Parts: sequence; C-alpha cells; structure tokens
Amino acid sequence: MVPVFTNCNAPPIPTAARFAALGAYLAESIGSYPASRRVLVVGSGHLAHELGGPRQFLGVSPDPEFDEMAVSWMARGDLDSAQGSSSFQRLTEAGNESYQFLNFITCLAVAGGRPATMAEGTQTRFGNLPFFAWEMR
Amino acid sequence: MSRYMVNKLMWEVDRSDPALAAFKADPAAFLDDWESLTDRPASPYPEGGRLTATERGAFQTLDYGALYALGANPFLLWQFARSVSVPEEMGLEELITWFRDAVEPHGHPDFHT
Repeated sequence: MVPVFTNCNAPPIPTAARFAALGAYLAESIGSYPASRRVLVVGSGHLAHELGGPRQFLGVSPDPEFDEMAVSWMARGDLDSAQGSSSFQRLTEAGNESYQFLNFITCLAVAGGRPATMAEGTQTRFGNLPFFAWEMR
Repeated sequence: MSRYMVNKLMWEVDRSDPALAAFKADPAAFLDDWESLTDRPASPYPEGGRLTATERGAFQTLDYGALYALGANPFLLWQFARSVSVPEEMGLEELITWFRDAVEPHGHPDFHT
C-alpha cells in the first residue's frame, strides 16, 4: 500500500504540476518494482472545503462550480485541465482547505491520466465529499 | 509576526491534554512557560520562540478573530478554538457562530509560514 501523504495545509504549497510529477514518479516506481504484487495507492483530500474561515459549516460547498469541474477532470481523465485550473489562487477561492484536492492530482497522475473508474462528489452537510477510484489491472 | 510559533503553540495545546489543561487554567502562565522552553538561542525557528505582545494578548483573551487576522493557520486555529472554548466557554453551535462573526471581517488573510 502506498499512501499519498503531502503538505496540502500549510502554505507555501507546491504547484499542481509538482503533485502531478509526484504521481508520475510513483507510477514509474511501482511499475518497475521487481516483485509481482497488487499495489494500492491511497490518497485523501477534499473538493472545495473551508475550515477555520468564514465559510465553514455553512451546510453547502463553498464553491459548487469548482466541485463540478474537479469531479469531471477525474471522470474524464483530464490531467491537463486539473493541473491548469488548480493554482493556489483558484484553490483559495474554492476554500482555505481546498489545497487538499492536490492529492487527487497525484492519484490521477499515478493512473497515467486515465478516466477514473468512479468519480463522485457526494453532497453532505460539510460540502461535497470526493470519492475517486481507478482500477488498473 | 512570529506566525510559525503561533501555529506551533496552537498545535501543542490542541494535541496534548496536559498542555490544554494548563492553558485553560492560566493562559499567561502557560505562555511564560512555553516561551521559556522555546525561546532560546538554539531555536531552529527564524523568529525564535517569542510571541509579539499582540499575539500574546490575543491568546490571553481568546481573541480568535485577531489570531485569524494575523495569519494563524485557519485549520489549527479552529481546532484550537474548539478545544479551548468547548464546553467551558460555550457550546459547539455557539462557537461556530461566534467564530464566524470573529473571522468574517478579515476575509482570507495570507497564512504562509
């Protein structure tokens, strides 16, 4: 099991391109691992999310438009758009915890930019919660 | 401001039951003790461990809005506020409203460290 565990909380935060590069590196490392094993890569993160700011606990996503785009990048396997539209500024607009979305860019890159097998933003009272999976056999 | 040390103090209080109890019992004494441990020449942090007078004042009066405006990490600040104020000062629902009113005028300050 390979956990994707990064600093997505305390700026300065690396660029989206670096999160993608990390994913590509992980894919290469896993691919060249000599033993024949099933490998699970696990990433955790958020869509638009705010904690400790004026938009926390509003009962809705602070940025439904971002959520819709973000789920679509994963569903379509659109790594370029995911990277290009996840600047620090854009993520800040989506909420002060939205940087955690960057872990999913790493996961998408691990999957070689393939469309996700499952991509969903589930509505909850905390906003839209992300569920993304890529099955690769 | 010594933003890193503000964040470190909040983290320490939130993660440690003894530190939380000590802070709640006497914030000023806690701040003195904490600074005596962290403010030393060998401190690895650029600003050392000393809080500014403004930061100390904000911690002593539980002025979450002031800490937020100074660039405290919002995630750590919320965890800290909840641990320190609930349930002694107020209930969780009341804190949510109170906290929002305190931070709203400041928008989204830079919280780089």
